[in-house]
Amino acid sequence: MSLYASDAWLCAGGVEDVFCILWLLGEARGSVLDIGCSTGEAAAVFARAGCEVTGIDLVDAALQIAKKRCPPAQFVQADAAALPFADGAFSIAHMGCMRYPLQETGKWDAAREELLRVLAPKGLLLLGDLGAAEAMEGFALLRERDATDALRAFGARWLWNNDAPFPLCGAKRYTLAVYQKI
Amino acid sequence: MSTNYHASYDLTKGELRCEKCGVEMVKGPVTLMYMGNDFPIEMPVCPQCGQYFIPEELALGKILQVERALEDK
Repeated sequence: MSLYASDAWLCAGGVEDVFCILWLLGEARGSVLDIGCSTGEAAAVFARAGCEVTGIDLVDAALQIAKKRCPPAQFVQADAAALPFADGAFSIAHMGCMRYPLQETGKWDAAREELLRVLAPKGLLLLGDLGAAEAMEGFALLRERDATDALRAFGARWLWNNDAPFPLCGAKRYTLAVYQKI
Repeated sequence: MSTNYHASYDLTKGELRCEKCGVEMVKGPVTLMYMGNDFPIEMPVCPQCGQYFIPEELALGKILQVERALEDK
């Protein structure tokens, strides 16, 4: 089973903590699509900040936990490369640590095209991922910051709950970046 | 939540007693905290004074690994 579809994520949560999510969000508010929402930690922060949240994930067990954690949000089992939403449906999209699994499964380009489709004009993409922020076709990078402390904390939680190191802990850097749809 | 650290001690047989209270220890939840992060676990605890017992294998095993992960060592 793919690491990303395993139950190991159910008790580890996401890499990004509350401070990461709030930094990414900044002053923006609106309809948020949380891609790879897992057990809903980020969705709950967006909802408490006043956003209307929809979360998607491939793992149904994680979505069931997310629904209990954040009742105001909608959670849907869906693929980032084939989003079941209308064009321009969201003003903000969030992906936490999703680039690697999407690249690994050959879905990154399709997922990026889907993001461009479902984001409203000038919509924001809030991205947290391993390594440095990269240029993304169709998006302009607005701001970025280092969040490697969050990656270390996540690695520690993963180790604690799964009795094994996180497989991608060879990565030594985690970066938060805000992009805007061009 | 990890419960592995009860494998070494059979609490039902009173294998662990609180030295201060003389009372048999029981399993209880505790949250260990380090560098702003929480790590929940169940460990032997004295039902009278509330002191927890941290097994050496836990302290030198997973706790140490987690400390190193947080400190990036």
